[in-house]
Amino acid sequence: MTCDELRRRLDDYLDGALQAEERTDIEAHLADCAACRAELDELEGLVRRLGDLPEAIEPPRDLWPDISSRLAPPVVVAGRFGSSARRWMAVAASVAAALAALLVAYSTGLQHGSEEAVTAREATPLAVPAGLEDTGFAEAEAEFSAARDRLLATLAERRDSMSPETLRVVDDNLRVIDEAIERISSALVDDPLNPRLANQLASAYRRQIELLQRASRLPAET
Amino acid sequence: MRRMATYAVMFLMAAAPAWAQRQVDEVRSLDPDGRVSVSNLAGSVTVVGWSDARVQITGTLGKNVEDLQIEGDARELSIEVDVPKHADDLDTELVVRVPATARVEIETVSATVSIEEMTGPIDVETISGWVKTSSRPSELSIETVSGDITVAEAARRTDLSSVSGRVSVQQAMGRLDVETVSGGVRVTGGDLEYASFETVSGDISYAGAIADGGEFEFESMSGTISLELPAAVSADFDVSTFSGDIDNDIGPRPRRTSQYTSEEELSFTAGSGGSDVTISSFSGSVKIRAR
Repeated sequence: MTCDELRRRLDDYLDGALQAEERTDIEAHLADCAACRAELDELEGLVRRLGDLPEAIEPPRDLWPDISSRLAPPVVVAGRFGSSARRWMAVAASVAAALAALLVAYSTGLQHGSEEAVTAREATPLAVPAGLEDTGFAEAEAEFSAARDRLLATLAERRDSMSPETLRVVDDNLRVIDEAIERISSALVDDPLNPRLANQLASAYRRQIELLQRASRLPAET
Repeated sequence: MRRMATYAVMFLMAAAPAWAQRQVDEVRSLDPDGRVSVSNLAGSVTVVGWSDARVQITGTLGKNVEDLQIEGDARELSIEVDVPKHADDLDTELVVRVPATARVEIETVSATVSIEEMTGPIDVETISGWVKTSSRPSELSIETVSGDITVAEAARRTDLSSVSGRVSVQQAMGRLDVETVSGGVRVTGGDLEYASFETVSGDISYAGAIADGGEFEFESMSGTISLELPAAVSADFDVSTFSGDIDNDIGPRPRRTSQYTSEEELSFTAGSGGSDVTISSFSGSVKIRAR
């Protein structure tokens, strides 16, 4: 097995999708080839970082405009990885870019018109996934987290002015979205390179933010 | 003498309800492209378009209403029912005739709103009032919390929003945006070019055509999305659901997109395509039927 042949099969190797004989060939080559071992290490690290993404992102709690349109177009990926390392890297970059864009767009939305915009100073920082330090992720995420806290606080203050029926509707539907975020995030941990899941997650975030902001702005009923 | 006094008291008691329901009959000038705003807490507001360059306000004020304030000029007129805090018996019934092409803005809490014969832009905000329109304004924006929305003829641009109120639209056209939290959405007929339907837990039902070059987006978390389309529809469909079912009459069967989840997706072109139909749900089912 040549280095090129091995690299074409690395994604399937990581996915556990190879037959036993092919795995043995690859492992034999890896034992003797430092360059291919380095390539394998790099891919494994990237998979770990991408797998961390959904868990590292807290649900946003404020409006950001047309987030879906900023996300990468849906790409259907069969299984954990694509059929080649190059494709896999492209999809990985797409998902990372989509999630980073989600937060950057959210941050931009806050800076341009949201009444609930808050400064990064008030944020409770969350962990920034390794490899995304230079994407604006940390800054966007900090604003994102702060705005979420602010909106939740605003909603808590306003609960007495809302009718029991409206409160029930808001609470019930926040639970629906919470459950969706939890389940999609969990699925992304298993299937981190599925852009449709990333889009579903972004959509759920957006719906939750819209609902929270809307509930915070409802006219007093009592 | 005592008997006369008794009769006097009885007369006053009988007359009190008539006095309590004070009658309103006011007229003001308003340019055909002027703006009129109406604010009424409870009762009803009926706006009727006519060809006169005047606004006529008729109806009855609630027993504990303080005043009906009418301010402004022929460009911009404000009609506001003044009420004290924490009072009952505030139901005020207003019929407001305005130039049909004027811009009308209405704000209520529980008062129902009815719009008739208007062709100018309409903007309605209410908490629990039922809003009903039976004419085709140039633009229409309605926002409610629990109030239902019934639109007989949508505008070329229509924005409808509710929390738990149900939304019903007939003869939609142009651009239609509908957003609810738990309220159901039903849209039938019309000639839409762009439509966006979003809900968290409400069901969405659309029965109508897909215009050539149109763009239709349906999004739900747990609500069912049902489309009833012409059998000869031409459109590019992109359907996905995380855990709901996809039931499709006019194209191929959906397929799972991940070995790790029950997520399903369905992308296909019906007819010659040319329009975009995007459907997305989390756990809600998707049904596409041919008429």
